[in-house]
Amino acid sequence: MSVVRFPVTVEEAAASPGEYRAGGTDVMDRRAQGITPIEDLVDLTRVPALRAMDWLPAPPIDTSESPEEPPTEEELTSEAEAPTAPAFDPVASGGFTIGAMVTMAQMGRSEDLRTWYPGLAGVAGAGATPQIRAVGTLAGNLLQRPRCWYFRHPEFKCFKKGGHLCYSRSDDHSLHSIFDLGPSRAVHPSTLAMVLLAYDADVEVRGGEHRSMEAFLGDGADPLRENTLEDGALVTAIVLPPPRPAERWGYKRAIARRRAEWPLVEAHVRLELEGASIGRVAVAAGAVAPVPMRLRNVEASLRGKKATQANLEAAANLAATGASPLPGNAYKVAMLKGCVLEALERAVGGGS
Amino acid sequence: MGAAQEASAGEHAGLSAESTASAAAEPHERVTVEATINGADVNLSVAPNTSLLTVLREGLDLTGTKLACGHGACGACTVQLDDDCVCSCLLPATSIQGRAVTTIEGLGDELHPIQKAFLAEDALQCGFCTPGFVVEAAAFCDGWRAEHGDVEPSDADVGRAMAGHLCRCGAYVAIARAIKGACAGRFDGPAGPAPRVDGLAKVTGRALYSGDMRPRGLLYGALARSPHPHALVTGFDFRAAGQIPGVVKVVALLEDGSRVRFAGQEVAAVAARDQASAERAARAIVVQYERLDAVLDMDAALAEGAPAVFAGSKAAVPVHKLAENDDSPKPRPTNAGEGIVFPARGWQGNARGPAGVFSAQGRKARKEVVAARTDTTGATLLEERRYEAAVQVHTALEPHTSTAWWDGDSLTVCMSTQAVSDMRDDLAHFFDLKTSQVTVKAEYVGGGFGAKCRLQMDTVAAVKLARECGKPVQVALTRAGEMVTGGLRPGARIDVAAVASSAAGTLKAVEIDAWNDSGVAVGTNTSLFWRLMYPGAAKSLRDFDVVSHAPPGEPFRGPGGPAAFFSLEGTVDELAGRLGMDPLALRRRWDPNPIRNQLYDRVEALPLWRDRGGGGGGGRYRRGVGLASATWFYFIQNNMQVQVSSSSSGFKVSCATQDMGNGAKTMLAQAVGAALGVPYSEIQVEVGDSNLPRGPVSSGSRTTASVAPVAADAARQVAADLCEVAIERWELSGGEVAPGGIKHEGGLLPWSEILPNAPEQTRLGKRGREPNGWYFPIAVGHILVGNLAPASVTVTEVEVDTRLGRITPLNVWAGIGVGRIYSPELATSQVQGGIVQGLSYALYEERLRDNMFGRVISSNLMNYRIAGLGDAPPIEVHFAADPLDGIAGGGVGLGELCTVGAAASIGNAVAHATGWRPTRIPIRPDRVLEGAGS
Repeated sequence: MSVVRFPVTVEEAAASPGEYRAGGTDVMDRRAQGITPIEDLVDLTRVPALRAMDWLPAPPIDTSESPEEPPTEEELTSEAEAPTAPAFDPVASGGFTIGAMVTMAQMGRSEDLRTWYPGLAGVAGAGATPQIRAVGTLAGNLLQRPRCWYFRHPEFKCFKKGGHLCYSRSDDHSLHSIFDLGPSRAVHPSTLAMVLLAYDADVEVRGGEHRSMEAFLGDGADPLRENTLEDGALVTAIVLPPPRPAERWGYKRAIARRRAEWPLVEAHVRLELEGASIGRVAVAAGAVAPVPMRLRNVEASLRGKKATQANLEAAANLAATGASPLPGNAYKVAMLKGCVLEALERAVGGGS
Repeated sequence: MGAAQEASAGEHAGLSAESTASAAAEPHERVTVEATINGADVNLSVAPNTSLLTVLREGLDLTGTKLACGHGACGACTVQLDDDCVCSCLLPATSIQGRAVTTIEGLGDELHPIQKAFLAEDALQCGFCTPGFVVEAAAFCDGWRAEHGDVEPSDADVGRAMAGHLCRCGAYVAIARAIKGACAGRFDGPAGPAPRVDGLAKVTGRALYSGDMRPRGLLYGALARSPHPHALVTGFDFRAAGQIPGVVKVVALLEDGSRVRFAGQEVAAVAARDQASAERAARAIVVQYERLDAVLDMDAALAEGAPAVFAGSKAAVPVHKLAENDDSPKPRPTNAGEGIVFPARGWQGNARGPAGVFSAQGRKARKEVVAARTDTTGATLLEERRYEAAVQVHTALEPHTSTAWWDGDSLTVCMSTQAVSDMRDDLAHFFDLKTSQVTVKAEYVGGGFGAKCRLQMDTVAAVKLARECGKPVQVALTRAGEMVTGGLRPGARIDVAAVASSAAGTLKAVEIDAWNDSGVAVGTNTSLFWRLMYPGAAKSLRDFDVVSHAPPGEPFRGPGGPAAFFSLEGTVDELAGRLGMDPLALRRRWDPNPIRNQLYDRVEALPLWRDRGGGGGGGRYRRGVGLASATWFYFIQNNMQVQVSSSSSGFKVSCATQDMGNGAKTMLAQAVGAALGVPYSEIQVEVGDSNLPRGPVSSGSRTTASVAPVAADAARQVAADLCEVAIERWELSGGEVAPGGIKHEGGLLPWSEILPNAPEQTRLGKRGREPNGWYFPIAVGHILVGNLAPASVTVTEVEVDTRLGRITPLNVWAGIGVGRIYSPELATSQVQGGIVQGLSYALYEERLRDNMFGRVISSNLMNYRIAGLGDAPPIEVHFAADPLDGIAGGGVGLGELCTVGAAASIGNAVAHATGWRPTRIPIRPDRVLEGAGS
C-alpha cells in the first residue's frame, strides 16, 4: 500500500520521499497500467509557492560610475502629476519565472506570456487537449515519461525499465528517434521542453540551483531517464530570460490527423529580423531524438542571411545533419526538414 | 444524497467512511477529501492512487461518466472541475479537495441548451461518448456566449474545443452543428422533437449500459492474458494474486495442457471488491507455459516449412471455444465472417483456400490475364497491382462488458452485445442450462460495429466468477484488452490483374487473389465484391485465409468490403486513365445498376465533381476529387418476431433485438407508427431483453429488413383487433382502420379514445412472402440473401500536403440507394458515421504487434488513432428517392453500404490530386511522402 504526502512548502516537498505527482496525467496512467512501480507519492497540488508566475527583478546594476543626479529644485516643485512608479519594463527585467505547478492552460492564458513570450504561450495553450491542459503542469510536462509503445506496454522490459534491450531497434520504430544518442530510441515526449530549449530557459531545481535547459535535458544517453535530474530532486520553476520584443516565432507539428496527436516530428523557431536579414535565431526539434535538440547548424546558416525562401530552405535542409535513421523511420528525415522549414516560414511570416 | 451514505456506498472503491486527520507532509494511506459534487457537499476518504472516475462510478453510483480509454485520449470521462473540464480517469481523487465537480448528472434539472441541441440535431448514435461531449460542450457553450454573445463559433473553434473527445460512431458532423447552434442561442427555448427515441436518456447520462448495472454486492473482474503467442499451459499459481487485498476469487479460464494461440489470449480471471485491485491481481497471476514455435504474421505463416497453426481443419468454431477444441483430432480456427464460412478447396500450409465460389469463368479469366501479359499488339490493357490494408480494430468506446449474476440456477447477464437472442442460446449451451434459465439484457449498447456478435471469454469469465463467488461480477475489457480480443478487421493483401480492351473500352477479365490476414480465424471473403460489380467480364476470384498466431478476425462493418472496393475502384480509375476516359463515364459504361446510374446523374451535376479540374498542380498542397461506387447485400434473418401491444398507456413494440446506436429502436417505432398513423415518438419501444420475442443480430445490415415489415404487420393486426372491438363497443357502422384510429361513417374515432376503453391487445407479426424472391432460395445460418443489391456512390475531395504527408478530407458527398428511409435524420447520422469510420480506416488506423511475441503495441487510443471531430469534413448525404419495389417494407439497411466505399473514394481522390496511386491502407504521412513527397 503506497502512501501519499501533501507538503505545503517547497522545503517540505523537497524533503518528502517518493514519486512526485503534479496534475497526475502521466503518473496515474503509468500506475494504472502497471508500467512503473507503485512507490509512495508526494502530491504537489497543495504547495502554493509552486504555482507562482512573475517577473524577476533586474540584476543589480553597478551604479558607482554614474551616480544619479539628485533632482533639481524645479523638478521637486513642479506642478506635474504626482510622482508615479516608473512603468515596468519587462525587457529590462531579470526575466520571467513560471512555477512548476502552473498548468498548460494557465500558461496559454497568461497575458504576460502571450505578450512577451508568444511562442511559449501559443504552444502551451494549444498542446494536448483542453482537458489535459487544464491539469497538466509545466514540470509534469517536462518530466512525463516517453510514450514509446514498448515502454508503455507492461510486458516489455526495455532499457527504460531496467532491461537490456530497446525493442524498437529491431522492430517497429516508426515513431522512434532518428538521432542515435543512446541505447534507447524512444523520443522525448515533451513539446514544452523543446520550446524552452529554444528559449534558452533555465530550470530551477530545489528552489535554488539553476540549470540551463540544455544541461537539464542532457545528452540522451542514459536510457533510464529523460533528463539529468538526480533521484528525488524537485523542479520548482522555469526561468525565462528577459523577453525580446522583436522576436517572431513559428511552430510546426507533423501529424496525420488534424489535432490532439503526438508529433511524428515537431520544430520550434524564434527569430528576429534586422531589416531583411535574420538576426538572433533559435531552432529546436522534437520527436526525433531521446531529448529535444537545438539545431545549431541550422541557426548558424541563417544568421545574418536574408530571409528569403531559398535561404530558409537551404538552412532547413541541414536539420537532419548527423541523423542515423532506422529503416522504418527514414521518413522522419524529410519530415524534420519540412517541419523546420515550415516553422521558419511561419516565424518570418509573422508568427504562429 | 447524504455524504455519509455516499461514503459507505463506496467502501470497496478505495473509499471508506473513516477519516484521517490531515497534517502537512505526513504520510496517508487514506486521504480525507472535502468537495462539492453536483452541488452537494461530500466528505470522502480515498486511497492515494484512486482516480476521480473510480470515486464517481464505483463509490457514488454516478454512472453517467464513462470509462472508455483510461488514458485521457477519448474524453468519455470528462467532468467539470470548477470552471475547467478534466478527464476524471486521470485525475487523482485527492485533487478535488475544496473544489466543485459537475458531472452529466449535475448539469441541471432543466436541459442545458447543449443537451437540447444534441437531441434535436441527433448529435449522437450509441450515446456512450455523449455525456463527455455534452459536459465539455456545455462548458464551452457557456464560456463562448459569455465572451462573444450569441454568435456561432467557427468549425475550427469547435474543433479545438472538442479536440479531447472521440466518437467511434462518427457523429461529428451533427455534434459540430449542435454546438454551433447552441452557442448561437438557437436552442434556448423548450426542447423540440427529438429524432431518436432514446436520445433524451443519452444526453442526460441516464441511459444505463452493461457496465452501469450495479446490483448489490457487485464484484469487479479482470483477465490475465498469455504473454506468449503459442504455448501450452502447464500450470497455474494463484497464491500471489489471491493475497492482494480485496481479491475474492481467482479462476482459470483454460484447463492445464490447453494451447494458447495468440499473445493476449485469456487464460485466467479474478474477481475483487474494486476494479484497481482486480487488475493488480490479474497481473499477479502466475501461469506456467511451455513455449512453442509461433508464426506471427502472414509472411511467416506462408513461409516454406512454417509450423501449421491449424492443420487441415474444415470448419470454424465460435471464438469462446478456441482453446476448447484441442482434444479433437483437428482443432479448428474461429469464424471471422458474419455468416457461414464459404467452402474452400482445402489448406496449403497455413493458407485456407482458395475459396472461389464467386468466380465466373475463372479459367478463362486467368487465360486472358496471361495473354494480356504477353500482348505486344496493344489490343489489351493490363492493370496489375497489389493493394494492402492493415488490420483495423473495432474499438467501440464502450468496452465489451458483462455484469452477470446467478439466482439459484437462473443466470442473468447484462451484456454489451449485438445479439441478445443468440447470446442467451450460446450461454445456455456453454453452461449447460436450458434457455429458459438464461436472460441476456442489453438495453443500451455503446457501439459494436460487428465485434459484439459473439460469446467471448470475458463474458464466460464474468459468469464463472459470479457462480464461484455467489455474487454479481462485472468484467469489462480494458482498452488494451479491447485492442487484442475486442475484435478486428483482418488485414488484406489483394493481387489484382484486370484486362480491358483498348478499342472497345470494355472490361474483359479480372483475376483477383486475396490473402486475408485473419489471425486464428478463417472466413473472410474479399474478392467476392468484384463479382457484384461490373458484370460481363470473366472473373477469377480467389480468397485465402492465412492463419497465424494472432488474435482472431471478427466481422467488422462491411467485412471484406473496404479493402475490396479500395482495390476495385482504384483499378477502375487506373483503367479509366489509361483508356483516356472520365472515371464517371467509364462507370456508366460498365455499370448497369439502375440505382447507381440514378446516383451517377446526381454526381454529374454536383459542383464538387463537375468543377474538380485536372487535379494536382505543382504546389505543396494539392487537391483532388475521387469517386467510388459500391454495393452491399440485403440480408434477412428469417423467422424474426416482433410483438405489438396496445393498452391504456398506448402502443408498445417489443423485440429481442438491440440498439447499438444504429437506431433500431427508432426504426421500430417508425415502422409501427407509420402502420397505425401515430407519431413514432408516442410508440413505446422495448428491446435488449432475450425474454422478448426473438429478434435479429445487429449485423449484416439486416435489422431493418428483418423486423420492420414484421413490426408493421403486428401493428396492423392489433389495429384490426381494435377495430373489431371498437365497432362492437361504439356500434360503429362502416368502421375500418385508418391513420390515427378507426374511420367510420360518423368520422374518425382516434386511438386515444379507443385505447383506454378497449381490452389490451397483443399480436406477433408475420413476414409476408418476399415479392422479389431471394438470391439463394434457402436460408443459410438463418440468413436469407435478398435478390437485389443496394447501391452507393461516394465522392470525396481531399487536400494532400506533399511536404509533410498529411491528407485532409475536405468534402464528401454520399449517395445511397436503399429504398425507403424509415428515419431520415437517423439514416443521415448513420451514413455520416460510416463515412467518418471509412476515412479513419483509410488514413489513420493500424493495429500493430511486435515481431518477437506478437503482442499488440498499438494498445491504446493514443497510438491507435481514430478520427476526431476536426478530421470530419462536411458530409452531404443523398438518398435515392424511390422505394425498392419488390422488397417487403420498401427499404433495407445501410449501415455497411455507407462505409465500404469511403476508403476507395479517398484513394481515388489522392491519386487525382497527386498522380500517385496509394495502394496501402492506412495512407500514412510517410507513405504519402514516399509516393508524392515534394
